[in-house]
Amino acid sequence: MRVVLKRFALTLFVSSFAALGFSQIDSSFVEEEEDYSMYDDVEDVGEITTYCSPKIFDLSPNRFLSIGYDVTGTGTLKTSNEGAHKPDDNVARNDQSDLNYHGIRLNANIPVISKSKFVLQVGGGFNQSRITTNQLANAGDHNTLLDEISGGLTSINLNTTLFKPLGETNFLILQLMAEQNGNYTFGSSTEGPDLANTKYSGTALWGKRPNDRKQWGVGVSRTYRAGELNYIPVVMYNYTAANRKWGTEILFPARAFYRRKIDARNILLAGYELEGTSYRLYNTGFNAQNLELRRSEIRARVDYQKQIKGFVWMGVQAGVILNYAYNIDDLTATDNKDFYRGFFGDQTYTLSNTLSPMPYVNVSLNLVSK
Amino acid sequence: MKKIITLIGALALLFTISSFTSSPASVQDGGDDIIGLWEPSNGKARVKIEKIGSKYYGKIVWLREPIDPATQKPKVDKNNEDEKMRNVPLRGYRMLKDFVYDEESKEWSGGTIYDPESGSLYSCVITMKNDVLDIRGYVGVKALGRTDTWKRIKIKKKN
Amino acid sequence: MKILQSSILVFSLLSLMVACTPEANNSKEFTINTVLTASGPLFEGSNTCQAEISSNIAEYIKENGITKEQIVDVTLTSAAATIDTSNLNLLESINLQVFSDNFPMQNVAFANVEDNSEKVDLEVADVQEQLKAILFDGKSYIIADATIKEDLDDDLNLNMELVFSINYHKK
Repeated sequence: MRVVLKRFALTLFVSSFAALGFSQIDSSFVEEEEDYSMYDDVEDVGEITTYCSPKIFDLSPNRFLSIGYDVTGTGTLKTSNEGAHKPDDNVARNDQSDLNYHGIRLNANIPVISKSKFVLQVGGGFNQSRITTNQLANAGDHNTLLDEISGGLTSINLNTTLFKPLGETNFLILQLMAEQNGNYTFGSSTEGPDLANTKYSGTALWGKRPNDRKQWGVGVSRTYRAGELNYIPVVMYNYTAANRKWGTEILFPARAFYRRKIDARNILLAGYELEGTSYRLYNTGFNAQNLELRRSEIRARVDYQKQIKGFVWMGVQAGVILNYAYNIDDLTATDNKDFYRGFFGDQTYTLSNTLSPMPYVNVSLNLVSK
Repeated sequence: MKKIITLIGALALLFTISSFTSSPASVQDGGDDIIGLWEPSNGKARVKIEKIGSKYYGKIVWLREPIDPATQKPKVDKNNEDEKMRNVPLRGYRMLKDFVYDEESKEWSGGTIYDPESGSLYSCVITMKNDVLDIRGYVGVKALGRTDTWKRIKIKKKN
Repeated sequence: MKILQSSILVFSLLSLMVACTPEANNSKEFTINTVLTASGPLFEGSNTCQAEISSNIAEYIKENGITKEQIVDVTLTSAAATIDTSNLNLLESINLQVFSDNFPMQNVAFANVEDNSEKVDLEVADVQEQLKAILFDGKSYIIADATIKEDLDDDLNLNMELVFSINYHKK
């Protein structure tokens, strides 16, 4: 019995150390046979549906957060008298003054839901156009409109973008934006902003993504990019060449860029962006009191984007601003509601103005996703 | 003497049991459920997740397009931030790294996912349900990210 | 004028910060020799050769009168592999990675292997992070993903010589 017990104890003793010994060898350190061709032929265990991605290869980075500063050179503002000026009229613009803009631009774009089958982003923006002018306040010879906006123009917006893939190649994009724009500045005693003057815009687009290097789409947009309310068709065409060195980023007519990839961390874009909105003019000295400044500009530019570290990128834009519109509308006749003039309407402007081209530079720091 | 032998036997038994139960290598916790072969929703790659040490890693074992059309050679990590690491082959590349399983939250976290297309390394957290992985890559905070779904696959048995 | 004053202030502060950052002005070489093994038979493609190391870097710095706090960083300066096989045309590439239980995996060196090479000098990564933490951690691991051109019946053994530079400042 003693011998049996002895043997049993000895066996356990040895096996316990054997177990201890084995426990020191991590099972992962025993490399199993790996024939890479065996991964060619597989079958599904889990089930998922394949959806097309919202991106294609090498698009310029998507900005989650952006802080930028915008400075322009000098442009000459020529304004008409207060009156009723038809769009095609040959208007006398005798009131003239020089101005330039500078201001901060903050933008956020947060993916609230971001899954393969659905992406919902919510964002906000704060864009300021402070104005520097050479005219003296209350001096005899000065531009009346500039008096009203010399405190600066501010734009705040909330926006949301929805991307809904319809299977492996088709997709829908819906964008909505609410804006509060005006000649108000925070901390000043001037009136505004007023929620009643919120501007709403949106785009609905249907598209196709035939492969990783191309996506295109067509849609319609209610937009203020041309300064005043408009309904226009839009065309998207994002493309990356097979050699992955160049491509396009187009959402016509809002923007169109040629993209050159220097490397994965340095990108050059050249093209234009149409920027514009309608600003409420509060507390003006004009006779009419429901005034909207229809401001629109084409920013033709070269845009250099560079990774600083990780997901922090910087952007430097330089180019020229072609001021497309700078007119004033009075909304009194439409009960303070915005109206549609489009490209062919003949509703009159209260002031018909021009602003000459001006060079500009924009620098920004961005938190991005690629 | 009998007592000593019995004591040794008891101790040895205890040791045996404890060494089997407490050894990390022998414990099959829920974390190991992730081990296996997976395919991202775009179907462009197959990734084998394995455990090394106490952490989980995922290696690209198959590419739908293994040849780079620009070079006509097998794809390499050409977008790597480090110029000297740009010739590393993508087949065999560990795109998931350093995941640790949290028994409470039932998720694999603390790791990273690498996107060879952009050369970007995202923080990442993984959850699993019914042989489907939700892989969320993010920038800094989880809110700034995107979730992809990966399905489990297995190698077909040859007849 | 205010902008000028602010710029001078910011510049001065930055200069002060840079000046106060401890700079390594001394270095010591520390070598790890280890054999990384992938157990055969192996198939063509990427195979993982690995080894768990308990680097005695702590003892080494103690012997040399350096404390861990003095060390600014540790960098891999050279990595060489000799292949324990008669087939010198077997290897295609070697990708070397290190990590530990508490610190993430780093790619530290890579080489495309030329034919008939008995010894392979790997190109060391420019970006090396947390090597100090990894080597001082309890368990560290070295992994070489070795791509082989053809199937191999035996184990694949890579004899690695890794030379690290311990960069430290004086007390």
